[in-house]
Amino acid sequence: MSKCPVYTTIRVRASAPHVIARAGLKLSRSGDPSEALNLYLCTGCGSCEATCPVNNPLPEAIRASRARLGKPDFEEAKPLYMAGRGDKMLIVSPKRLDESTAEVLAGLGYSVYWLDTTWYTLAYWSGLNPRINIQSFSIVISEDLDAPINGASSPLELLEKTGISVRRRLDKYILHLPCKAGNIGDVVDALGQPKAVVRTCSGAGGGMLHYMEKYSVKMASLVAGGCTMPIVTLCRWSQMAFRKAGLEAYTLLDLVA
Amino acid sequence: MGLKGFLEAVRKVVGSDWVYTEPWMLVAYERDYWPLYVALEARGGVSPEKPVAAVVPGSEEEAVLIVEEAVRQGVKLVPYSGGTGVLGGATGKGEWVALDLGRLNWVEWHDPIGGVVYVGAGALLVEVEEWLNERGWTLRHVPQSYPTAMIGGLIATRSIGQYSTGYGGIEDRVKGVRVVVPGHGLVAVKPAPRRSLLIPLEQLFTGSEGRLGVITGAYLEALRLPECSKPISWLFGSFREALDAVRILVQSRVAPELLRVYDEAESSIYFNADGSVLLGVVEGDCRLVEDRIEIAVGVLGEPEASYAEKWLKERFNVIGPIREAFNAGYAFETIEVSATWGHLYDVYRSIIDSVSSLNGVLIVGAHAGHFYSSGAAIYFTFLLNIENVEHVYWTLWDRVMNAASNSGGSIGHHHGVGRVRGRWLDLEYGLAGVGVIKRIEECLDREGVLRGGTNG
Repeated sequence: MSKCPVYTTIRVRASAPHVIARAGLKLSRSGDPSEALNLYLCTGCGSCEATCPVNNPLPEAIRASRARLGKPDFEEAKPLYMAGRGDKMLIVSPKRLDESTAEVLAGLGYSVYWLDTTWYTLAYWSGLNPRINIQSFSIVISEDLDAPINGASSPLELLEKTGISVRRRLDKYILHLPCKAGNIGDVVDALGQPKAVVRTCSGAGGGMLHYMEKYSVKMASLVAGGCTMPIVTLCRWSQMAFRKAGLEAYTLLDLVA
Repeated sequence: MGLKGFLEAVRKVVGSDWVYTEPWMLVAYERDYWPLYVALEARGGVSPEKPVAAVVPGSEEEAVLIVEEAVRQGVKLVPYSGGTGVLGGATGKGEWVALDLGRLNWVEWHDPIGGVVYVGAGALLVEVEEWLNERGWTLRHVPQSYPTAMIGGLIATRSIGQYSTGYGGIEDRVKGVRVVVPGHGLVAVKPAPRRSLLIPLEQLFTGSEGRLGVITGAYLEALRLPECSKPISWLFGSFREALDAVRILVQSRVAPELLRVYDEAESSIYFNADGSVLLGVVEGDCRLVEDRIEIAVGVLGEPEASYAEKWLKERFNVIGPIREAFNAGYAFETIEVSATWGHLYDVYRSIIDSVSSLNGVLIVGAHAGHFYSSGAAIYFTFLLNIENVEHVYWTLWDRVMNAASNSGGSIGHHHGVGRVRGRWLDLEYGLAGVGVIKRIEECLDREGVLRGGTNG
């Protein structure tokens, strides 16, 4: 509880990891979503599991419970910022398919393709998978800047090979690393050294930005610690949360042509 | 008048965002860790009683206004901090409102030289401990609920931790307290190392379980982080033998700061040991730690195995054993009592004997974990057949309470009264004593705003 960035920021008891886990358990017994909507107050950052004395796999349990919620009819689905319905979306991630995230995106009307780069890399190099043409996708959300796609050593190299270059530079910026993302090499090469690197949870993951926007925005507004510099993040959801909080925010892909 | 008027008024005090009426928000307050409710939930078909609303003050001033409004409107409030109590004390019955103290979460020095820290009732124990550790201090208050316990609840239940033999209970840390008392406003007791001024107010509220006032903050005496901390363990032939040996150490004032003695049953289950496991942690100046270990070895014999290290690694794993019990069709309950040394073993045996013939109850075992010059506490774990748990539960408690009292022991050491132990309170205090407690409650809270939950 003390390590959960959501609870410690917003101090809403329903967002405490063990309270959310209990809601999931109740949902599995009763099937009644009205008592389990706090499942959307978990961003999946994994801090609870990492610090749990017995390494309880809470994020996974919460994700599985959240998938049961489906699409609650209490609220209309909102379009994604900067994109439209029906677009093909490629999610490049070192994580395996996050079903609840994919379901939320599909519910918003996207045709989602999830590229698990760990599996894909091995399969591609062993000749089992064809190349993926990322140009055919309307939007690419990448959490893995190390992903070698189409023979390139990194997505940035791939972009450069296809004639894409950094079209906008920032004089100074804060680099936000979302949960589980560690590599900043490509960003620094492209944009120069950030003034600061922050790893604070943006409150955007796990459907929180969509279904619990006010809490998500509150968390996002605190990430930069009051600094007004632009934020470059590796996560599209984080970028949306920052923008909703009134901050100037980009992903690397926003800054390349 | 009533709930509607109360909610309208408090929305103006705390803002609408901090008044919850949605079911998915209120589920967070419907129970604590009371095993009976956990069992009924696991068995299915019973839901604990949710509050009709929850209110979350962001400051002491807001808490005062909320309590005043509750008095005005006749609304029952139950203070809720960490929700880690095990006797249902954080929940109410009928129409009640949870007063969530989670936003009262400050931690700051009151006196960095004296080690007195000023904390909010909603500060997590872990947060306070880490803040102190960074500065070379500690509370050394480590109950099993350590990962999620909050300061307000710990004080309200007069809680105790695993290092109590060396450092005492929460009452030894509380040097001042701030409490909102219905009809009286904020009672602010400044910190002092000790005082003799009629009634010690900070101790009056410590252990009052939210029935005399709402604790909003406290001044706690921290301790310097020990230079050295060494685990050590022994294996004795029997529980009785181990207790006798420990008494010598404790009464000679050289006992480890953390000390636990397991009876034969628990030694077998948790450590796969044949006999009685005794484990401890000795802390302090490194030179003194070595000397004390040498003295302990002289009294207890050569240490054995690594029971202490194993226990330290697994001590917060509550979920694992509970899950195993449920999977096997059992609910669990833990009951703690205490006694002076001359009665201790008799109390232990009386309880075991009184429960052994009870259908639907298995005794897991017991351990002693809090030691004093005058005696110790014993903590029993029971498994109950989950199918008829409601009937067996109350019979179990009745037998244990009467056995403890009849053999010269005390009926409750650190879990409090909650919604369970009140019906046996006269065994401890006599009817006159129970009458005094009731009178104090009625005097301080005439309208009964804070008596919507526990049965006292």
